Amino acid sequence: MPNDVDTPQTPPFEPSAEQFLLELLDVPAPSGFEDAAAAKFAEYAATFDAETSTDRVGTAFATVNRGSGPRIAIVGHVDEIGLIVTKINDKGFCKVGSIGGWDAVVLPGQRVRIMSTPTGGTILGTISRTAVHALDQAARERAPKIDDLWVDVGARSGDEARSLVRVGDPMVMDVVPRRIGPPDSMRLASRSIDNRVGAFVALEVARICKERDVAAEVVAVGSVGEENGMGGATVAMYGLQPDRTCVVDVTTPGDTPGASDLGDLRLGKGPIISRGATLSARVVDELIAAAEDAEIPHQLRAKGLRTATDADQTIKAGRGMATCLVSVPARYLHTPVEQVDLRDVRASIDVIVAWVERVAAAHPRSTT
Amino acid sequence: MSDTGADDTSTSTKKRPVPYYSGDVRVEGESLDFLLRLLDTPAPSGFEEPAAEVVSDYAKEWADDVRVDAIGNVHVTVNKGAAGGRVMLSGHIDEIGFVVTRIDDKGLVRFEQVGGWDLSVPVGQRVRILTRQGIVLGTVGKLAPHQMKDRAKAPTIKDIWIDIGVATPDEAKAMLRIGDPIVLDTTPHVFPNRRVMSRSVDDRIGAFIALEAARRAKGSNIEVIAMCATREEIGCIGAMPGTFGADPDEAIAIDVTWTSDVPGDHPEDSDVGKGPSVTFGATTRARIGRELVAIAEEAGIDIQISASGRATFTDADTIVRAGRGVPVGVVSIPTRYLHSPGELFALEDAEAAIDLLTRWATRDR
Repeated sequence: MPNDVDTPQTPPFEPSAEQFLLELLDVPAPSGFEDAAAAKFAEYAATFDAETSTDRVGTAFATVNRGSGPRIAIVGHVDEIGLIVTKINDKGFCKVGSIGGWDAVVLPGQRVRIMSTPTGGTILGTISRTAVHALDQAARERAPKIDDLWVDVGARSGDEARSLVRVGDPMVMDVVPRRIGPPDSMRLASRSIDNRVGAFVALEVARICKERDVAAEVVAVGSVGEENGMGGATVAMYGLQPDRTCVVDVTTPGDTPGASDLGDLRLGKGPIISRGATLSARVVDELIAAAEDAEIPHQLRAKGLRTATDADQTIKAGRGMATCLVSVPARYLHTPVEQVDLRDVRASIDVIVAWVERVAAAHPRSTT
Repeated sequence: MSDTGADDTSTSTKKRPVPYYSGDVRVEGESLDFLLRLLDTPAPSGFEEPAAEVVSDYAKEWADDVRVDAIGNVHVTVNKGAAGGRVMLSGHIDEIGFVVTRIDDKGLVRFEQVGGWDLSVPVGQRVRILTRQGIVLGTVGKLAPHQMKDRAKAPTIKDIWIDIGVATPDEAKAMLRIGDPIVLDTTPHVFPNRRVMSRSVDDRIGAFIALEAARRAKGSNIEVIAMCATREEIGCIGAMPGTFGADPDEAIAIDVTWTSDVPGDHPEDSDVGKGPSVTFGATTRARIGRELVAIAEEAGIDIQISASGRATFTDADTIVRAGRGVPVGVVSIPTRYLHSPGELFALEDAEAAIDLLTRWATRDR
């Protein structure tokens, strides 16, 4: 394959930052059960002396340069999609429900990490359905639904299963983040890239703005409840009242088979800046101008209705928040093999830092 | 019609409809110029700044305060700080439209809808694309009937495109950007009988009525905020934070409603030219509806009544739950052909609504 990447081939992060990203990706934290991810978020923020806090619904905040200029919130949700035990039957099989939006086709055959209440730790299970040999032709041709599946925790009876899991215990797919591709590849495959990558970008922006002493109060926000529509970001923005909000999430590029309707969006071509109806056109233009002036590669996307990100929520929080959206291109969203190019992650950080610096310069020590 | 005594005027020989509204509000002169300018200004949801500017230019001549909030709602206030209470009249200044999503390899512009469209409507229309360099004209194309495999199928967004007259993608990319907003290229038309046809009547007419009622309320003991809200067409998003910021004691959303004076079997009656429609229903506060009916009866203003069992599909649905909650009413202008470039209403209905809402806003509380 020809190299389709404009950005340089150098390793994009400090080793400590990349190590943190891998740890953050590995933390199981489906919507409603985000405490571990919020704690990991705060742990990293503490390494660069940010002020950390959480709100009543669990969103994590890391603030730098307090009072030095306009308050700018960078929001990346820390929750991920997962499954939840809904019923344990007398044979020891667990029925599960969806946390967030799954394509159930990806589930049968996966191993899961269940955050087990009875054991106080993590236990392993497998997602199963009737073996192909036992499915009639009609069933084979039909895509599985979550109702057709169960989780097997290796129990020999209902009681044994209940000693391992409780109704309401959440789970995530049992995969670890892996580099993928040739040795110089910057591609990473993992679950929870949607949207730990966004939370990571928010933290890195705060860290760099502190390091450079940018005259803006930057608040990295690790929001909760995005995948299930609860909208922790709304609550967070209401409390913060920032002058600008940048939501960081992931989005599907159009470079995989059958996705040509998504246009020219490519993995490895830089962050995707959205223009559209739930965003603030003026703030989006600031962001694009910052990217152009700093000559950071970026791509444009249009959304006529909703963006299906926290931006749909932050725009109407409180008195309304001036909101823009940066999306890291990521293939295979909502599967255990979500894939990003780390250079896109790096460029996303760079473009937001350039924008923060621009806003800080235009609005010294005042609200805007 | 009998309220005006028109039926008894046997000397009337002209067949032109007699205005039913005989109060002292007349939309003419500067007021009409402003309305037509507002109707002509392209501003789909999320890209309302041009309409906000037109509103601000008009209102700053007479309002105590004109303020644009963080997400673009324009708050026009008269009698700021008045002791008698604070009311809000709200109409949305966004309109439905489209955005450019990609340029294909033939240089054709592919797009996505902003708000709810019947996609049969844009086919064959000319469009204005709002670019950094100004307006680019295009036409909405689709396969000719001769080329279609299934003529019975309604077009989807995949079946239509915009042609801006270029031969290559590079030419197109030099002219416009992904995310540039689009409206249909039509201008308002006033018929001799004072009916108006335009795109964006939904809901510039609501914003216009809110502004004109506030202008007439100047000098009363009530603080009146005319809010020109954003992003209604994509889910009533702007009015909620706007209402939170305005913090009114009570509010009325002014919007348009469909009519039954066109072919078809209609579940309720609503005619153009028979007066603004007052909503009673599950979202609205019945007390406000009763007040409007009483004021209309007393002042001799014809109104129509509509019922809404669930949501009203206006900004009232989010105004009602903004902040700690706001008692809300809905007044609608009967408008034919909603979400098309031929939206049609009667100026008299707007005049009657301005009169009614001025009286309601300034009544003693």
